[in-house]
Amino acid sequence: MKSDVMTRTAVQAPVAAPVEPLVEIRDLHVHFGTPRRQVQAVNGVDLTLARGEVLTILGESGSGKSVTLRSLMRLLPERKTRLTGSVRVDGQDVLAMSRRELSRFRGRTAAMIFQEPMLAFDPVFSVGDQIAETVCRHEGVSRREGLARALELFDRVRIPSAKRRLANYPHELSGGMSQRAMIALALSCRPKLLLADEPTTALDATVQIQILLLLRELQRELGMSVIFVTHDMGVANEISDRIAVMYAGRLVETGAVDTVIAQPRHPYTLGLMHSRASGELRGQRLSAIPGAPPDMSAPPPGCAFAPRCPHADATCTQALPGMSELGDGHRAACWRLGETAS
Amino acid sequence: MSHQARKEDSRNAAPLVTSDPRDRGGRAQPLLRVKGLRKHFVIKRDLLGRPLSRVHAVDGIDFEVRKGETLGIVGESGCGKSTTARLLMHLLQPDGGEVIFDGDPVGTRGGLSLREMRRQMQMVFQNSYASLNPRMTIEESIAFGPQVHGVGRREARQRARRLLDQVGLLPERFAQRYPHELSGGQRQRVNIARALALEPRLLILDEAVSALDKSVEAQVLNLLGDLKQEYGLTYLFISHDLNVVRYVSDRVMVMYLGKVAEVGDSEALYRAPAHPYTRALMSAMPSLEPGRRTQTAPLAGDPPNPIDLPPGCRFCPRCPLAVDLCRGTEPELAALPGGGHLSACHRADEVQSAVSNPQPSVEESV
Amino acid sequence: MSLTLDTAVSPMAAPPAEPGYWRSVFARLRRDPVAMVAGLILLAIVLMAIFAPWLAPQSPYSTSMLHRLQPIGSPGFPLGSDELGRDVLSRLIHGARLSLLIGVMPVINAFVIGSAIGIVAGFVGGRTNTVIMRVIDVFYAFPAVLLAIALAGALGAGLVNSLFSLTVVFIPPIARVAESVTTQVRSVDYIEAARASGARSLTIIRRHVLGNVLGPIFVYATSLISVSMILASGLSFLGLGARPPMPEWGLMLNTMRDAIYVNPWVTVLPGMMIFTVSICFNMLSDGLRSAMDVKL
Repeated sequence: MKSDVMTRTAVQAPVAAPVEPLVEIRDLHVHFGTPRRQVQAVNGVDLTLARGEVLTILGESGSGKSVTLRSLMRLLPERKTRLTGSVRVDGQDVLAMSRRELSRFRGRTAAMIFQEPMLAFDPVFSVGDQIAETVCRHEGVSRREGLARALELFDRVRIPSAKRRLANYPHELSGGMSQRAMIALALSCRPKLLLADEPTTALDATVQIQILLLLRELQRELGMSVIFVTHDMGVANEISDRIAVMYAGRLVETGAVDTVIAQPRHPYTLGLMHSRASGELRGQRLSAIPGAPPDMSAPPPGCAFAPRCPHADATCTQALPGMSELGDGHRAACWRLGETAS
Repeated sequence: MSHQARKEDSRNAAPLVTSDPRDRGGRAQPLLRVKGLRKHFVIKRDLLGRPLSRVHAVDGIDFEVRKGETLGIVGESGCGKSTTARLLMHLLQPDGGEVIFDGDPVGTRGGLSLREMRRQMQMVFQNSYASLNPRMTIEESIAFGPQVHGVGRREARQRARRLLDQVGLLPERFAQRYPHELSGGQRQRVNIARALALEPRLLILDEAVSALDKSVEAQVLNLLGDLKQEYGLTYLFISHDLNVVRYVSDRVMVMYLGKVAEVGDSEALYRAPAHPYTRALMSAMPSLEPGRRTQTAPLAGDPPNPIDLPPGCRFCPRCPLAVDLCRGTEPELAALPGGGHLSACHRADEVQSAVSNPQPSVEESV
Repeated sequence: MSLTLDTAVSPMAAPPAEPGYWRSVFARLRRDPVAMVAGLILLAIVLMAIFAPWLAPQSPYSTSMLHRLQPIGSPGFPLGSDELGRDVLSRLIHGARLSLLIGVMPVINAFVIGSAIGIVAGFVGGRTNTVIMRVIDVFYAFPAVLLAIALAGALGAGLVNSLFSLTVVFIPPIARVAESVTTQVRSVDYIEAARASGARSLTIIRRHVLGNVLGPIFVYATSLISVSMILASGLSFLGLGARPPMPEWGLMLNTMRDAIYVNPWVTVLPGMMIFTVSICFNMLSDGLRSAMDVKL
């Protein structure tokens, strides 16, 4: 059915070379505390990202994927949040940065695009002005140069009639167009790391694929590293080199995207794959994962997925499984991996 | 009346609907027939209040829903699928066309009254939270519908509890809760229970699972399948997710800018679409095959707004196969050979045969 | 696989039951120190008004020309005496009854009438809404004070008349708030779902709209109480409201006004009472609004 697919040339995860990874997260714990509720949103996450690599964090609501992403830029509400662990981007310790350093970091080293493009822009200024302003503030150039750069960026993100569009206000742009404008804004200061929080979830299918292709192309051209957060496996397959599956604040499976999708080993990943609706299954029941994710205000002691897992046994509910190596960078955190080997 | 375990039998066979006492006309008569349905929204008026420009949200659509089937409606923003749902439920006043329910025209004198129609046709909305009154308990929300139609309070509450059980929420635990205490999936189950409280024959599901997580979506889809069999329901399933629609529907209708682009049997439509827009939609789905990725976007630009439409085919500006004929004359929704499969395209047969050919040909790339 | 098995009936599924809406509102209110202090002060004043005959040392009407305009702390007159020799403390205590009445009654009346008008206009929408709201706007266009004075002047002085004119003054703002809140609620999905069940408009208003709409209107109305007190006192001050010898705070300000150079502290006391009560109502209504505003 797909008329235009090509087999992807194998892109291996970069060999552990002397080059330091761009992003290094060690033992990240994020705790939200309000007088009413305490929530342990992220529960010990270790993640590395090499330069020029694209990683997708896959998970459902409540898995902690967005929180993990935002902690990379410290975009979480300061007063309510407690972050422990280590987060290093481009050699800098993000958690130890002062306000000033953080301000320089955001935009220049790391930039983020969000799900609602309209919300990233101030409604009372034109999009061109806002991009120019970002450039001027970070690089100290004149406004005219800032606008020139904005025009260049608009061309790069394939906005037609770019010059005219620079003068548009955010509400005058359609969904796909404003998402492109937001990407332009994020790239305006040539960041090394691009963080994308479900940027295509709210878009129509035909627009989504355009944006995904655009992001792929930009990533190749600029050599950026990208961390993409989504709940859609198809999107993960289209855009990333590696994938990390999150459940209840922890990573349950990581590896090259081809491997994980072709041979998932963690029961949760397997469950996700098998519960997907597709035409072949018409007339039959879907093998849905029973139950619901746990309450994050009281994370269970053992494996969080145990209550819903078809292979769970006594060890699973008592002890937290560590990551086991499955070969070739593929890892899964499960006591019962023997059951899931195909 | 708690729900019994179900066997894994195939659910392709349409359930017996002739046992419903409200049935008229038997299997052969479509449950719902829509002719020329139209709705325009005026967005600009001149000084005297005369309309200057309109959004042609739904611009004359014809389709039918057979008893016991699931008809899927797909399309992108601006296609009019949600407006269609609201027009069918008479939450919006149509500007033209007619709706015929089991042989009776709805809303006209001598036909089915709106009140009676609402006992036979119900809807589940997309936003599970906004569909429930935050100040009413779950039980009250479900019991409200039957009470409006004269069912006594106690009996309505009993019905509510039975339905909660049917949708998988223990009445003892959930009946007295408020919507904000439930998760999205649980709320959507409540919405389904609420829609079923009136014992309808046709259920319109307007993006009912779109806002749910994938694992919850699977559970709710299973639930919908079970309920359909149990109650002999007919579904109108509106969604933008092509995979889910393919799984759930017997027939599928594709809408574009307020008109029907193509309608036909699920498998036939997905395997060999006969409209360039349908083909583009299919190609736009992200690939789930490891190692194979999409290389080109099938369509450029955003779906346009149905305002001030050009003459001729609406899809012309974006269509890779457009010719002069397309720009001049609007294509009719015509049947393709084989019956049951209709497409509104001048070059429908070319489109259909091109795709059944497995080799990708150069002129197809957009 | 039975239906109930694969659905959310694991022990974690049903979250702990949260208290009802109003109980959680009051819980939040209790944690707001400003609102609590204001509430306590108001409670004290209301109690003072209720138990006035027992609390006041003297009758508020007994005059004594010998002891006119005594300063604060004089024997027998703890807060001084007014221009006719009446004990100011007793008059303040008794005055609480009248002033509170004159502050609260018009708002309650306006709340009932204004909400009805606004909710109907908001729910029906369209032309009817436009007609109703534009009529309301005509009244709204007058500055409140002027309108109150004009009405009271036309009707003649007196407590009842000033109550009436204040009610009329407050109907338009409450109706506007009611209409806007109802319009917002009207287009929400659950109202559409109720319409889809076949419910008639009145039923929908009664069961779905009212519960969600009365709260915000109520909060707005409580913020008007302080305005009402000040306006009422103003009317009395101008001689259009309560008439002598009633111990109403605004009227006291009027009658003692000539003595401001002789006995300034005593003259100011009724004004301070008005000020205190108004501010407390304001703080309480602010606190109530914040408590109700939390996203559920």
